[in-house]
Amino acid sequence: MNLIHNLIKKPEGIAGIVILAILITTGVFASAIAPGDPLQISGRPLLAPFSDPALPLGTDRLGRDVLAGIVHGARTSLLVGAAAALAAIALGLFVGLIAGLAGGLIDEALMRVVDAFQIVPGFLLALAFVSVMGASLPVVVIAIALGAWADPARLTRAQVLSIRERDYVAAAKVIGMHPMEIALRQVLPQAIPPVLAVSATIVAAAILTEAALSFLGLGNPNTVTWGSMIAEGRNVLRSSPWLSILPGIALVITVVGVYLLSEGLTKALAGTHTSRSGGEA
Amino acid sequence: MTLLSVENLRKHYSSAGRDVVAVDGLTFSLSAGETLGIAGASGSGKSTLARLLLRLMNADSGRIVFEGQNWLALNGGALRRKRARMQMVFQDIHGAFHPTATMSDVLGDPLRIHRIVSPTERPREIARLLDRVGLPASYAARPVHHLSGGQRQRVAIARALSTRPSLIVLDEAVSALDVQVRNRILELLVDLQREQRISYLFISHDLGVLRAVSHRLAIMDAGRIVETGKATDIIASPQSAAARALISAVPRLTPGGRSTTAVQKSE
Amino acid sequence: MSEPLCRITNLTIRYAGHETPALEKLTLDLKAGERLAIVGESGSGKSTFVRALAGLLPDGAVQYGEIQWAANESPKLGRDLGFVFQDTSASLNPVLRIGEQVAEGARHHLGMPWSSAYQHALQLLEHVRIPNAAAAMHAYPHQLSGGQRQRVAIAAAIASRPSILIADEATSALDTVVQAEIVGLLDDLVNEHAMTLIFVTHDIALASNLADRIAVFKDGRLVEIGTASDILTDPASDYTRSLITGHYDLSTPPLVTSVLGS
Repeated sequence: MNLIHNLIKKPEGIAGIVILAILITTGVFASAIAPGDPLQISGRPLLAPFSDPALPLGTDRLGRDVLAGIVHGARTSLLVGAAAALAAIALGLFVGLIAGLAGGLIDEALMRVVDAFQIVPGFLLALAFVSVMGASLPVVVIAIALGAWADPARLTRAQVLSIRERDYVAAAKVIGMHPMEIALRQVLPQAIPPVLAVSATIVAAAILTEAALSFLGLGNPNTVTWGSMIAEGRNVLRSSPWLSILPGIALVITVVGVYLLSEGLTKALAGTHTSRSGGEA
Repeated sequence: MTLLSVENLRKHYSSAGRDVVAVDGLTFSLSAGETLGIAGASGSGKSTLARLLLRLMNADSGRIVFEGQNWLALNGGALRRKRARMQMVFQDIHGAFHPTATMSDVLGDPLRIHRIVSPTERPREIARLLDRVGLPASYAARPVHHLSGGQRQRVAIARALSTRPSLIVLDEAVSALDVQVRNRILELLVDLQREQRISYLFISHDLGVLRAVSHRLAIMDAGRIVETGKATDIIASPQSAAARALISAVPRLTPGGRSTTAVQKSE
Repeated sequence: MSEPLCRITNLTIRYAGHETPALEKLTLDLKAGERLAIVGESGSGKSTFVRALAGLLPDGAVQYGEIQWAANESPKLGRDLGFVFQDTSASLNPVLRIGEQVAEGARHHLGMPWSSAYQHALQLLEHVRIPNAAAAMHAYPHQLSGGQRQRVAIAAAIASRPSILIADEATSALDTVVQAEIVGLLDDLVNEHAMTLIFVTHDIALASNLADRIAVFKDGRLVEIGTASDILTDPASDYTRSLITGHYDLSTPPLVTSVLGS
């Protein structure tokens, strides 16, 4: 695909892909890297990092392996982040497509709903939802998606409004194509690229929101996540700062990786759109 | 035999609080195998007429009878099926084709939608269509935007032909092409008409082009048809100011160059 | 008048990222005060040539050969040379009012204060026959029709009273009626101000209406050049001949005769 080719050419793209590849591999092979349940007690509590080769990043207040926690936490963060972003984008594309193509009252009504969701800060919305529905993984994913779908919806609608005026959409009508097919095969594929460019940002925001929810104790209590580790480390911040700092660094690297990929994608997309040169009149 | 009959077609819209009449009481007819040239300057309503005919826009009032049926009364699946009989070639500036479409996609879609041939026969039919418009069948897998302007218009014509229509509307279809390329396309169109008895509604602001391909002309001005008749008659003795303006605007090869332009400007 | 206004020798131009040159070994002389039409199809190099004259080639374009102006100094775009594009969105700024854009040339290059420049702009708009010029001064480009926008572009191009005017397919996007009006306007303006006019078009008949000399370009090369009457009555090359016979006007025999089966 032309897009991937362009992406690899940009430094941001390569950096982003590399970082995320490492993280995803870590998450997938978590059990191989740090076998055993990260919630189990593996050694003496509050062991400093790099002091014991069996526990390279030390232990927390209860003696649980920090490395195991970070590695398993990667899996949760990435999973939740990706799932929530996917849900948000899917919903946004769907609503934006319908609003853009239908026009009139349907468009107005849908846009007011989008307005409502955009006005409320995403994190507060997620917080409210989880508080009401209880803290389980599916609920957290839905909560984050609810806070994030409004932007892709608006973006999609704007694209659709411009695309539907193009002659090739008119040509599709003229040859008798069914409106559903026009929407899905002619319009939607052209509306996706800008949404793709912001999708990485949505993933990053989703990961951070999940961490924040866990930090506040609203995440799933039965899994280890970076947010919960940071929360745990708060109590011994003066004496054992690494308990909060290490998962914090993992979070930063993940978010930076996602942003770099998003930058690379945006540049690569701009490249593919202008690849046709003007030439002679 | 009347193929198309348009009566009192009217379309208006509001712009900045004012009521603008795009098309006002258009009435004309078209026979099988005939080319009706619609001539007019920008803003005369010609493009609106095209869009109303192809039902890309809803008319406010009026009647269209196409192949004996009330064209405006059709909807949904019945309309989509009947669309095979009336096709359009757009002016290709940007966006006449889906950005990633190949020639097979462009020609395959109408063949599939109207089940012109069975799926196994489709590649052969596509090759036949390409060949008919003078493009190599080997081009089928190429993306359309890799082609030159003239080649793209040939694909557009092939697409219009694929559903075996009885009427093709051409809206400034050759206006963006170089002279030589344009002339080849016009010859192709005339050829196809002779072979398959297709009617054309040829919309253009260039009377020189219209005269070459039209049997009859309708002159449009401010949303109305102000003159209609045999193309050669109208050009020989125009009755309306709009027709006279269009005629005098056609650039003439004036050997001797500038010295004879003074004659033209007396209009 | 024996010294050419500009002498072009072996001009070759290649755009960045392209292997074949857009213009190859062009040699011709421009005469002061003449009207030269450059006729050719897409890809013939005609736009490349006039953009090179105006200094409008894009970054990365490589130029060989020579453009030697008689005055030893290249004419400055906007001051000594006016340029009218095919697409008015290239000539006119969509967010500035018409009056401001037309006055800018006079203010900048003639050193007029704003008030005189505005007066000058108003006169120019009347000169290019914009209806209700006073109101048009306050309008934005999108509020005018295509033909009117092109008139404004012409007014802006001649605001600083340049001695050279280049029109690059200035009428190609307009319908025939408006095209005829714009050509008539250019004819009058060029006469009145004794400007040198270089007019690029794909329509040889249009060229013949306006030009003293016609240069025919094909595939980046000059095919032939001569007076309009010579080129039209006795073209030297087959290509020029094909352009002439390819022109459909109202005396060309039509391709259709009668409706079959009627």
